[in-house]
Amino acid sequence: MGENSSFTLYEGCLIRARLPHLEKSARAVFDRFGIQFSGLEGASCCPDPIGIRGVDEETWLTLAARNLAIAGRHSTPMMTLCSGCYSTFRHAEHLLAKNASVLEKVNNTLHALGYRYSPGLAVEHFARFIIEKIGADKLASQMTDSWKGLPVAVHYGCHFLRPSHIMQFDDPENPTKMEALLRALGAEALDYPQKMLCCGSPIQGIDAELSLRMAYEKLRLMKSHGAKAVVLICPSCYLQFDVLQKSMEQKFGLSLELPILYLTEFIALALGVPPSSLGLHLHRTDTRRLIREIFPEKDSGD
Amino acid sequence: MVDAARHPGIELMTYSELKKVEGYVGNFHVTIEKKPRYVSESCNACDDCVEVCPIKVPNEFDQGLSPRRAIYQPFRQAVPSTYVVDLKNCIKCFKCVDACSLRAIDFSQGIEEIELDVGSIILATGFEVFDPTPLSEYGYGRWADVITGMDLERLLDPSGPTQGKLIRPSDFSVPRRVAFIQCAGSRDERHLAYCSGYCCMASIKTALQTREKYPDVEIAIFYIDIRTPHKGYEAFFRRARQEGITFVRGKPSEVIPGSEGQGMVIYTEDRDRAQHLEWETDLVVLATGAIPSRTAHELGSRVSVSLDETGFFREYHPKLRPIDSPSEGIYFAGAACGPKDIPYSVSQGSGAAARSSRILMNESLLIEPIVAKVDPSQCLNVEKKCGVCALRCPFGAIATAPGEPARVTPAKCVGCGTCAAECPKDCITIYHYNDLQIFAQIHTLLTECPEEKILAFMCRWCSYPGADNAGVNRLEYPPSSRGIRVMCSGRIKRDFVLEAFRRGAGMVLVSGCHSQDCHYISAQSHAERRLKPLFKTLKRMGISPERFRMEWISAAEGAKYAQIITEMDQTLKRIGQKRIKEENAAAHAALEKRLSDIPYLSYFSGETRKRASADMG
Amino acid sequence: MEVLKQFLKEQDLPQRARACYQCGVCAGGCPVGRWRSDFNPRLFVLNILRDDITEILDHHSIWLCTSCLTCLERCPQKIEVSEIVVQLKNAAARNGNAAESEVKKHREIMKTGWLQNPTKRILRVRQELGLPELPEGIGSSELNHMASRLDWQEKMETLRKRGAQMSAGHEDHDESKKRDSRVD
Repeated sequence: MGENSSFTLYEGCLIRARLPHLEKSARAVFDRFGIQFSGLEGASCCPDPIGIRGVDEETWLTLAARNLAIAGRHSTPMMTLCSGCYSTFRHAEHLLAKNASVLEKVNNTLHALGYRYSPGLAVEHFARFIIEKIGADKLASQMTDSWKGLPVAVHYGCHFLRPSHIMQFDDPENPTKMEALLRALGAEALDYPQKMLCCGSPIQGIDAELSLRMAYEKLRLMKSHGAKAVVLICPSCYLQFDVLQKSMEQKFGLSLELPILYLTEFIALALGVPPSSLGLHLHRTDTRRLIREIFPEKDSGD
Repeated sequence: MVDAARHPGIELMTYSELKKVEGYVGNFHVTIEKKPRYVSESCNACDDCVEVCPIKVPNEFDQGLSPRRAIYQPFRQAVPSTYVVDLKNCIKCFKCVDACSLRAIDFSQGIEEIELDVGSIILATGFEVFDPTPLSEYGYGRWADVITGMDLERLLDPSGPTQGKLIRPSDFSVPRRVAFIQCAGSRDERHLAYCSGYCCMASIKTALQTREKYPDVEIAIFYIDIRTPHKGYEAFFRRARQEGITFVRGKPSEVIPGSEGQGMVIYTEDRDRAQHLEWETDLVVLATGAIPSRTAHELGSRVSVSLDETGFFREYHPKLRPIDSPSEGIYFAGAACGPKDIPYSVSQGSGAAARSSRILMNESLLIEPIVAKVDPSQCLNVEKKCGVCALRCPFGAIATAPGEPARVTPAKCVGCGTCAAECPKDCITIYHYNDLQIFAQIHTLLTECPEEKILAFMCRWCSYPGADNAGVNRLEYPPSSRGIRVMCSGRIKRDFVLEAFRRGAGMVLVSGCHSQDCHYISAQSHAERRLKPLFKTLKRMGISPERFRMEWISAAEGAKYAQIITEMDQTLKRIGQKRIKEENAAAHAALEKRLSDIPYLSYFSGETRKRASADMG
Repeated sequence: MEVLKQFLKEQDLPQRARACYQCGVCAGGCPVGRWRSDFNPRLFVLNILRDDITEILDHHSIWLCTSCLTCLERCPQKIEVSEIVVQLKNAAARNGNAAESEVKKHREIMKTGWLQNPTKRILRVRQELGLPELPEGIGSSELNHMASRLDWQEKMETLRKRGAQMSAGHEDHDESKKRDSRVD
């Protein structure tokens, strides 16, 4: 990876419409390593690999191909901030590359709009880029504020590593790459069972109680193994764990008090980015108490 | 093992490796490397050296569950009972040398090379147990209380690491509950696609052993299918059920530690009730399948025995000749060519001995006369490095030394004809199926109205009997085909096909076995590869590529043969005599040029034939 | 019905399901099946093998799949169970039976090209955080083109006509009240 790499940024619906602070932390981290982002004009929802794909796969493939075709017109590769979007782009590419007749159908639809999709566009996931191309050592060398041994549970989510024959990144049952990053920044990366369990986000609208149960199950496991914070890489999982944590506590009676941090927030804080600039107040589950505890000399943006 | 060591007719060479094999059936010359034990035969297994050795490493025989020293006896019943020094871990402090009252330890021992003349070779390399570590969902290697069936065997063995006491590795307590997971990594496209066949019985056996020793332990076996096919096996399974061993139909999805680190929890579906189950247990036993011995592959290449897609040795034929390797005089016993249980292994061992003795008992061995011979005066390898024949020979029957002509060992040659067909100088003859004979057949069959005929090359084992099958079953097909039988499609040279077209054939068919059935292992694959470019070649010369077909037909596929000839006849009629003659004329010059270096084609020119028939009066 | 039949033929689900030997690994590890006995991926595949998917196409439970892909990872026959479930969802939708929340997502995309759009408040927060302005999204004319080429109107009509009601196990649960509880 050369310095001053550039990427076209694809934030995805959730970060774009509701979670600007996650984008902020990503920009803060990548800025430190000379990565620049340009915007992707004319994009649409990736689209949602579960909700939209479930109703009509052709719509999903066509809109995905369109986004990829637009991104392909840029000279820079695309980077996503969301595992769901990453899953859509990688999986759609895989299916279109495998099936020539479907690819033709999709391109026929796109043709009238002046687009043409060819498989092979490089799409990066922000977390994968950090792990592979920046790396734990480089992060550690730029660290100014260690996490001081804080026990942290990593939530990989479902779409970063699976399907493993497409993603080919880490062991889909027992991954360890993110833990290595956390350790490099001074945290204690917890080993807890069933860490690849789904957060339940996609069925929020279908069965809210079941969805909440699934999210609660994960936080409960993390908490019972000593977690003091959770790090994740998907805005959908973030909504489950951060926004709905209070509902979980009310419904299931266990006090969780687990700050939910996006990986880039976690890294930004260790790199000395002022907490007050990261919009941490936008978290529904309080993070500021944690910040005050671990980084007492910083302004936590109260 | 002791009987084998004591038998007057058996010389046991342990800690030895077969390094080189030369020769052929009845006359193998083998080189064996005997590795040094650093302990002489005068060792009386008193253990004095073991007691002073400072090095402790995991004991392989006990699955790493107990330690051994750098000087050790693999296991108490080892034959010979002589100890051995593990030089990789030994720090050469020589305390053992001092401790040995019999002065049996000798670090000056070196590798001994022994050369032997033997009549036959039996490969009995056995198998190893699949290591389930890649099955992250089961956590072998991550959670202490997840063990394999083999680990359990060692634990239950009175001479094992715990003297037969069943304990949980995590806290050495006796488990109150044990759960077996069958097919761990087996019947699994991600790991071992095949079923090893013994694991169900092995688990039932160790389950019953456990039940006998610990009557109150709760035992459950989780499975996809229980396979108990042989004598007494089903009754054994019934007994297990009657002894209260719980059988749950459902392959577990994952194993995780229990809450508060107590015990393990198995997540599975109880299929019979279609219910999600979280089964608590103290010890998880993964029943794992068999994989080939890790050094088998190397050994195989030394004896020219190939591997099948699972990595086990490939037998001549899995049903009809399961003990023989494709090379005459080399046999298999036990799990060398596939997982087997004890009765099957014993049977196969006896069979291999019988196969061997038929060689050893006789003064001479009768072999087929259909063998290859290289013309040394023409062989390219003398001037320039070639060796194509040796490379392609599926039986390793050809030797090529630098600067020397290739040499076929007739006893190893099976006469498939691949070498002859692949030789760039066309200087290999196949006795009884030589080029002259085949060209003669081509010419004779195409003497009259060649353009109306389909010339079919067929192999002796599959497509010819297939065509015969069509006849026997009275299947009708057009009478335009004329057949030439060769031993194998591997015999077919490109020149045969081209000559057929030069002689005016309307259509040409090359047929043989399906690739997985080829009697000569890979000869058909070579043929297919070699002849495929002919489609383009013919097109370039002006002959419609649809006039040439390659089809793979088994001996039972009479209907397929009839169908193909029918189709080819239709194509022949559709193209029409006029066009065929035109194409043949257009291609004639190119074909003549291409085949000009074949000397005996001139024997079959019209003049010579007329003269010959005139001579015959 | 014709659309559905055509779709099922194209997808050839039986072929995809055939290697299944009903081991239950998918069901055993399913995070949804763990809590809901009416959601069993193994039984979905079994119904395909028995050529009897009418119940699936009418029932709501197929929509409980979160596509976590655990079954896909663990299946020893590499069946890609979760992919089959996606096709069953598509078939159910063509049969007029789709989860209302998913239909709503689809409608939103048809309208704006996104699942949701930033409110004025969010735009203000972006400014406060010093983030650049968001690029323009897909234009309405392109959306209309997509709509017509992908038959969005027709698909939505099928779903509206059948008036599928999604129940979270409670028959009298008012569907219109159901919304993403995580929305501000």
